Amino acid sequence: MQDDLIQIRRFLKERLQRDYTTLHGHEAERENVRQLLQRTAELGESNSLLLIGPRGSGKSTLINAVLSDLVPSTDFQQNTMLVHLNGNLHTDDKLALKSITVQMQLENAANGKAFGSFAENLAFLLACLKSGNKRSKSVIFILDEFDLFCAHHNQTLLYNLFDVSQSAQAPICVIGATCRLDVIELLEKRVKSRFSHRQVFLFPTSDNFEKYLDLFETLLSIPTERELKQIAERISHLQKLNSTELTMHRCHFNPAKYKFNRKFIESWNNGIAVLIDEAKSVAVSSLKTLYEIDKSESFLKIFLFRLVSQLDPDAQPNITAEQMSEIVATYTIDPRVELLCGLSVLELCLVIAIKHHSEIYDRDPFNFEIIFARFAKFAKVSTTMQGIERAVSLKAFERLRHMEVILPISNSVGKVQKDFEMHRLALTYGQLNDAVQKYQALPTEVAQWAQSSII
Amino acid sequence: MEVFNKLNERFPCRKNVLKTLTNLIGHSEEMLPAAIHIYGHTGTGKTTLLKNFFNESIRRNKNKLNVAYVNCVESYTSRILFENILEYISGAIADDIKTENLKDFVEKLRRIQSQPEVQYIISLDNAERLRDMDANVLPSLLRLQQLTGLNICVILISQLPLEKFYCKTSIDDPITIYFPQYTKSETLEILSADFKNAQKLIVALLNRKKPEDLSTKLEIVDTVTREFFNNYLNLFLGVFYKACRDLSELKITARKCFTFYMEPILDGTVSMSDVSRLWRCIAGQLRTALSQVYIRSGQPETPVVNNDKEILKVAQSLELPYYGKYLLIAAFIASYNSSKEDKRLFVKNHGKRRKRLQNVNANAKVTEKMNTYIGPKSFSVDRLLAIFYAILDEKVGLTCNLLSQISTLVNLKLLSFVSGENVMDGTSRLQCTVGLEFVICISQVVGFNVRQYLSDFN
Repeated sequence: MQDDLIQIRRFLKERLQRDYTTLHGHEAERENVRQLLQRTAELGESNSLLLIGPRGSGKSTLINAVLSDLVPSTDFQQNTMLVHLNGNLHTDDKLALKSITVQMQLENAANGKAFGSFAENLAFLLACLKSGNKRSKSVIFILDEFDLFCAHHNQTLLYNLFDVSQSAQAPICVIGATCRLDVIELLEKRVKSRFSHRQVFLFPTSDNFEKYLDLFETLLSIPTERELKQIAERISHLQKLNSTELTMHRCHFNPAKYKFNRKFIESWNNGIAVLIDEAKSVAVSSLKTLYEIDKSESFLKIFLFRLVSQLDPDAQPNITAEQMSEIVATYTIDPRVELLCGLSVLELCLVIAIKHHSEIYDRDPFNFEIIFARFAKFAKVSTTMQGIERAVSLKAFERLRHMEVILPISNSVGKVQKDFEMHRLALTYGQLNDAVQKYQALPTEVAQWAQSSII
Repeated sequence: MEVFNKLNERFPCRKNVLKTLTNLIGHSEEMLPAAIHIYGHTGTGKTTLLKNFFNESIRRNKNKLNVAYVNCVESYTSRILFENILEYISGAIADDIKTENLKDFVEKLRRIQSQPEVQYIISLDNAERLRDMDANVLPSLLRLQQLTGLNICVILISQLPLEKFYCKTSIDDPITIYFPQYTKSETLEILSADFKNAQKLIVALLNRKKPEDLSTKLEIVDTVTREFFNNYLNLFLGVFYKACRDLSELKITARKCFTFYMEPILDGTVSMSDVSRLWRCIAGQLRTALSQVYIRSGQPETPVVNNDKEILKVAQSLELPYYGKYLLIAAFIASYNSSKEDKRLFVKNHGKRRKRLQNVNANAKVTEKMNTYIGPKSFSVDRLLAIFYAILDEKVGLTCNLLSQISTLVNLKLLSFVSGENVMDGTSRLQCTVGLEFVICISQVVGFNVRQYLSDFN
């Protein structure tokens, strides 16, 4: 019983984190990309495509899923090479080209050769693939964070890749993944004209809440033994991918090592189903809140990870609705208000003084001197805030700056004395009012002062 | 679980966050989340708790957990950061950890041939500094698990909430954990755990001073009860809590002030039960201590008072030469008046000023717009000298002695250069750095009324 639960926790955790190839929904897009890659692999067609979707919408997963679909066929294995580039890692074309050379296993051929231009170098690499074989191998370029490649000097890499893909020099397929919808506008004219303008948009799958609930259940339930075997077989094919840059096949979630007690599984799966069975239950309403915050699968996965990690044979043997609403509550609090409530009364008073100043002068910038004068006026008539020295207030002001409640306007450090450096407020008045209300044991006069600037 | 119990004892009032941490990263041989973001005020135990947590976890399973603990203030460039992380994680010699860029770093991590059950944790203190590094560092760190294929978790520790980390194309959301600020009763509980240390401190002080009746005094210290200490803490927090909630600061000050609190008892003038008289004795001390919270002057026994009255004392004791004082006053006037006003203030026949409604409105002073609030403006040396001659009744020649006094004032940090500090001539620009009270004090010494010459006040 205990071991079973730990087993389940381990299994679910690993599946949530490491299942890079299972895509829920997006069948049409998947088919689209799959056919494109298949044609490149089998018929030697060149092509280019952009995958566009917000963060966490499953762009990389889609590519991985398609690869795992294709990898079992021997044709694909023999005829294609994968080159995987990431805009965050390959920050300039030189790095990218080096990495391409390594991934195409052409270091030996390219060694000692001097190339005049980038295009020459790339042409040489592609020509290498042709030599020795009747038909050239096709290359699939996957560019993660595609928008970052647009910032490279002259967009040389993109220009050359698209040029090759368009002019049928060698069969290559360029797939870019990005979360910027305006990515086409980032391309230079000459690059844009060589791009095939094939774009696939990925938006979060669960366009209705029922699907979201289904997803919740799928992600938490344990598959049967037969299903486990199927998955294990599919994943075993991934080993045939030989790419150094792509890591997903090396550490992919593998269910083969898990063995479950059948009875326990049944009761577990039942428990999950019961949890969201009723439309008005607490669990469903917390999921609804979550859905309204962010409906992407990756967001749900993070939530589930937190949920699953709380499982504990002694204290928490199954997932409960209370637990869910507790975690959902952490997503709905405003961290700024929370931080404001942790300030000392003095610091809060300064923020209130800043608020009054901003209200009266229409969000004019302020410096410490102005704020301290306003605070001192209040402190003089108050009973609780008397006897606060200027130096202590200055320190409190600096803490506010450090916590970025206020932000300096210019970044000319050292030129201006810090008492006179101009700042602006990085809060809304609503957040401050919330904090004043939530603050425990705030002196009444301070709360009243927060409401009106008249002392 | 044992880790949890042990740390829960050591760190009171941190049960919830500790539980969450244990759940997320406390199980060996399980998957770690990709990234965790921990935020909360200073002094809420973020760093200490995490460090202890790692130490305990590592002691329990030595070979299966690799932790890199890096402070981003120390590692101020991405390169230093990467090399520090690698040094911790791979334990390799210096040659192998050389990394040029992020690509190298990820490459090196990928090359670590690890068993799948080994866990890696990179925890970055002061993570807000990551924003100052190259734009690709933060997004990549947050998805390091995907990039490297290791069972790796990146923990960001910061005082700022996650929204301050968002960059252009957003980031992968990590799991956030909030370390709440201690409430007043929790603060009291934690401070009262410090009882034994406060007692020890007093004993040590007594032993150092060696008064005649040492033994009786030590006996008195021994009779101090925890309840007595808690009473003291209540008094103490009543004064301090409104200005400072930083626990470590409170702890230091509470210890320091306890020695003052005990003084009359040790002398035998006040009995331990007479709370109101004890309060009267300590109130003054507490108020002085409040004015220097965070400042931590070197000698706790003779506190250096640093309040507003002290500024006046400094001003009075400052022995500037006669002309130097006038130069400083002239500099102040130049800093806080616009040059347009000069003619009206210093020329005898400046013509009549017509009162127009427009002028009246423009001159209606709002406190916040006053020059003394906005700060000093810069002025040229020429203007300084012109004002100096205007306010000084006697005639003095423009000698190098006079000019050298300007640089004396700059050296004393009463004036500062804005531009042209290399070759001082008429066009170099200066700024006055002292406040109004200081200058008023100086001008009283030479019998001069500054207010009369400030456009703010007339």
